[in-house]
Order: sequence, then structure tokens, then C-alpha cells
Amino acid sequence: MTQNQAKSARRPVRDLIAPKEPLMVFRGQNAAMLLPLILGLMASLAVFFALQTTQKLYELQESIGLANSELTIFVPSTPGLTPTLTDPAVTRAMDALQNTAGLGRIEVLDRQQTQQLVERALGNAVTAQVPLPTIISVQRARRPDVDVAQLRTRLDRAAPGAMVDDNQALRQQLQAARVTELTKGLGLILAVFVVVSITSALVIGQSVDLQTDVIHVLYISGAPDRIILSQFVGFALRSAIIGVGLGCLVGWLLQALYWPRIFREPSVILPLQVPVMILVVSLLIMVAVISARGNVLRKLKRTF
Amino acid sequence: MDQVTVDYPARPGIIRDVSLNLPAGSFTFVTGPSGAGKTTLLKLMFLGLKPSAGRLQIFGRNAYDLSRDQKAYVRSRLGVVFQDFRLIDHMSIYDNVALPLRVTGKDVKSERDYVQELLYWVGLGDYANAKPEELSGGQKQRAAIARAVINRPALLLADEPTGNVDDGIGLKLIRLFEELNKLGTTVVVATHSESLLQRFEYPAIRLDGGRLAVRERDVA
Ligand SMILES: Nc1ncnc2c1ncn2[C@@H]1O[C@H](COP(=O)(O)OP(=O)(O)O)[C@@H](O)[C@H]1O
Ligand SMILES: [Mg+2]
Repeated sequence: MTQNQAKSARRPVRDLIAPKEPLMVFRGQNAAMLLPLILGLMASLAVFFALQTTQKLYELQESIGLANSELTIFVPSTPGLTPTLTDPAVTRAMDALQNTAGLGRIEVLDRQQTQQLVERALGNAVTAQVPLPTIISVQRARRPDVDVAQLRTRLDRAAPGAMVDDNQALRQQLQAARVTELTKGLGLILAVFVVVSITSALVIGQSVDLQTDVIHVLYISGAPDRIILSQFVGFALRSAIIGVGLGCLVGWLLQALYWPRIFREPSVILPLQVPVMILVVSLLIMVAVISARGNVLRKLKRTF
Repeated sequence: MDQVTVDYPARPGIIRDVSLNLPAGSFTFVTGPSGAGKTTLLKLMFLGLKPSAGRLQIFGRNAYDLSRDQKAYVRSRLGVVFQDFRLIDHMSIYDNVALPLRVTGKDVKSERDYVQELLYWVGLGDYANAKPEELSGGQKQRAAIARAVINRPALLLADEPTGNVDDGIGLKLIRLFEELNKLGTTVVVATHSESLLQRFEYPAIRLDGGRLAVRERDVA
């Protein structure tokens, strides 16, 4: 090679830095530049839906817990006696309750509370004519669990006609509501994931089309798929991390407006929210990157 | 290359039953009128195109049995020069030339002297930091040649390398190829320029109507 004249003019090679330009440039590609924004919007929706669902499930769980922890016993009034502790049926029922394992606080509701409860159950038209029963509210310890059926027979013996309400209908209702909320939430989040997957694949796919010339040169230069893929995957990953990260913050703020309890009890609510957010965010980033990668690979295999 | 046929959707039979063998270390022209299929033939050679029929062996291996990564490896042993240079606009000339090192996983830093030496060899020693847009057509073509040979290819394919530069520069480019050929590189130059063919005594494959119409000066 003709190195003699080369040597004389040689510039210090050390000044040349190893290439720092990326192989691909995404600047100026409108859709590609919008990708973080689109992913951000989608992420804020997904995180918001996920946190809404978390809130609803948490509240339902609290109600179920309450319903689980409480038994209500209705003791019919003995005709002629005011419904108080002087009623022997009530006394016998109290005895029976106190001798039952697994029960906590036992409380006889006063007249006003009783009236409210009965009115809520039957409507206020009836209450004028019906003698008010005595209502005993019983706290149920978590463990050992109370045998409700056995308690029923015992109470019936002690105070004939006594009814035990263990909130079964309410609990079933709450449990059904829980399934509904979960399904609804997952459905919405799934929809967002589908949009993220399609958007990411399309945007990155368009970017591949715009850079066919560069890709061609890279292949001619001996680049394996991996090198070219990594350019697009890297871009998708960066877009997703920025977009989804910011979107998550927006989604969380939005949810905080709906559930100000987060500010009152952050130590209760945050441990619920953080894992949900981490899960949603990582899944979103994964879906965005994997969809982009799949589409790029498909296109690369077709074009070269 | 054995009985290779290429059918483009709109132009079936661009290459028809072409068989040829390029011995290692040879220098060959591919010629023929515009549209004869010269570019297509080179595309076949750099595995940028799958033929409709026929077999192609490259470096002793059956090209269409190779995995995508193996094809990439084969391409890393090829150098290709295009008529329209195909330099990457956003990269400096240095980075354009070093690109094949970079994408085949070589340490570009340790090859810095070699890249620079090659730039001097093609007469672009002072343009390392320039962007392609700052260069003339002839300079771009020389940068493209430097890029094509940076990986010390076993086979150099040049598609109308003289098409976009004036005659004097064109001659110099062919002289560069001759130097490489003397160092052991197999060279294939596609051109429709009769003056080039007359000037150089190398064998020429003439493509016409998809067939090897004439085999001048006997290609083995
Ligand atoms: N990708 C393609 N799809 C369809 N037709 C093509 C394609 N590439 C080239 N052709 C056609 O094939 C013919 C041969 O092209 P080419 O190999 O470029 O010839 P040359 O390089 O000899 O001028 C031309 O008529 C061209 O229009
Ligand atoms: Mg051509």
C-alpha cells in the first residue's frame, strides 16, 4: 500500500475517538419520537386502572373482613317485657354466647340502634307494629372458627325463635363483587396491553422501513441480526422506560385524587400500590420491547 | 454458482440457468447492457437474494443451507462497493470505514491505526472526521472502497464503481482493486463501460437476456 506519502501527512490518530455515533439515528422520525409519549399515556391508564382495581379489591376485602368478624343475633321479645337484659330469654342467650369459644366482644344494641337496624332491614312502615327484638352484636375472633350451626341450635334452645345472622348473603355478595371488579380491571388493563403491543410494533416497524438503507449497509458489512436488532430493541427499551416511568407517576397521581386515603394512611396503602405498579410497569416495558423486537425480526427476515 | 435462475415478480428470468465459477484470487468483470442483471448477479453473490432455482456455493459452502448468522459471517468475509456509495450520512468517514469492524464485533480502538492507514491509502487521510456530505463523488467512492476492504475480504464485489466518477478517477479505482487482487483478494467488478473492458486484460462475463451470452477470455 502507498504508505510513504501517507506517513508524511499523518495526523495523530490518537485524536480519533472510537465511533460514538449510534448505528441508527431515530431523531427526526416523528412516530418514533412520539413512542415514549404514547407509551406514557397508555402506562398512565394501565396504572390507573390497576390501582383503581386494587382500591376496590382492598375495600371489598375490608368489608368481607368486617362481615366475617361479626355475628348478629336477633332474640324475639317475650311479650310484655321490654327488650332489655331483664328479659330472661336475652339473659339465657347471653349465657349461651359467653360459653361459646371463639367469640369476642358481646354487645346488646340499645333501642335506637335496634330500631335503625330493623328499619334498614324491613322498612320503617312495619316497625311501628312489630315489637322490636333484642339485637346482640358479637365480635367473632378469627381463630378458632365458630361453629355457627352448633351455635344456632344452642341459642334456639336458650331463647326459642332466636336467629343468628352470620352475614352469609352479604359475604357472598361481596365475594361476587370482588370477582367482578377483578375481571373488569384485568379486562381494561389487557386492552391497554394490546394497544401498547400494537403501537410499539408499528412504530418500531415504521422506523425499520425508514432505515432500510442503513440496515442494508450493516448487513453488507457482515452484521448479524443481533446487532441490528439491538439498535431497535435499545430504542424501544429507552422509549418504554421513559414513557412508562412517567406514565406510571401520572397514573398514580390520578388515583391519589380518587383515593385520598393514600395521604392519610400511606403506610397501609403504599405497600398495596407499589407491587401493583412495579408489576404493571415491568409488564408494559416487556410487552413494548418484545412486540417491537418481534416485528423488527420479522421485517429483517423479509428484507434481507 | 450452478444453474441459478432469478425471477423477479415483474421480470421473470432476469438470470436464467447461469452457471459460473470464480476461482479464488481471480479478477473478473461482469458486463452487459443496462438492465441485463449485473446487479442481480452480485446480489446473489452477497446473499442478498435467494434464487428461484439453482445452487450457489460460496467459500466452499452451500449458501442456502446457511443460518442467518452464518450468512452474516460469510458477508463479513465479503466487501461490496456500490455505484451510489451507500455511506451512512450521520457518521464520519472514519466511522463509516470502521463500520464493518464494529458490526462484526472487532475492537475498533485497537484497529485505529489500520483504519487510518487505509484512509491514507485511498487518499482520504485528512477526511477522517468529515461527514459524507462534505466529500466529492470520487472521494465518497474511495471511502466506500475503504469500508469494503477494511475487514480484509476474501471476495470483493464492486457494482459499477466507476459509474458516478469521472474517467481518470475510475481508472485509479480499478488500480486500487488490482492492488487488492495482488494481495490475494478475489475481485468481481460489474460495469457496462466498454472502455474499462478494453483497458484491462481481465476475463469478462457478459450477461445478456439473463444468460451468459459470451464468456470472454475464458472464465474458468
Ligand atoms: N427487486 C427487484 N424487483 C423487481 N425487478 C427488479 C428488481 N431489481 C432489479 N429488477 C429488474 O431486473 C432487471 C435487471 O436489473 P439489474 O440486475 O439491476 O441489471 P443491471 O445491474 O445489469 O443494470 C432490471 O430490468 C430491473 O428492473
Ligand atoms: Mg446495476
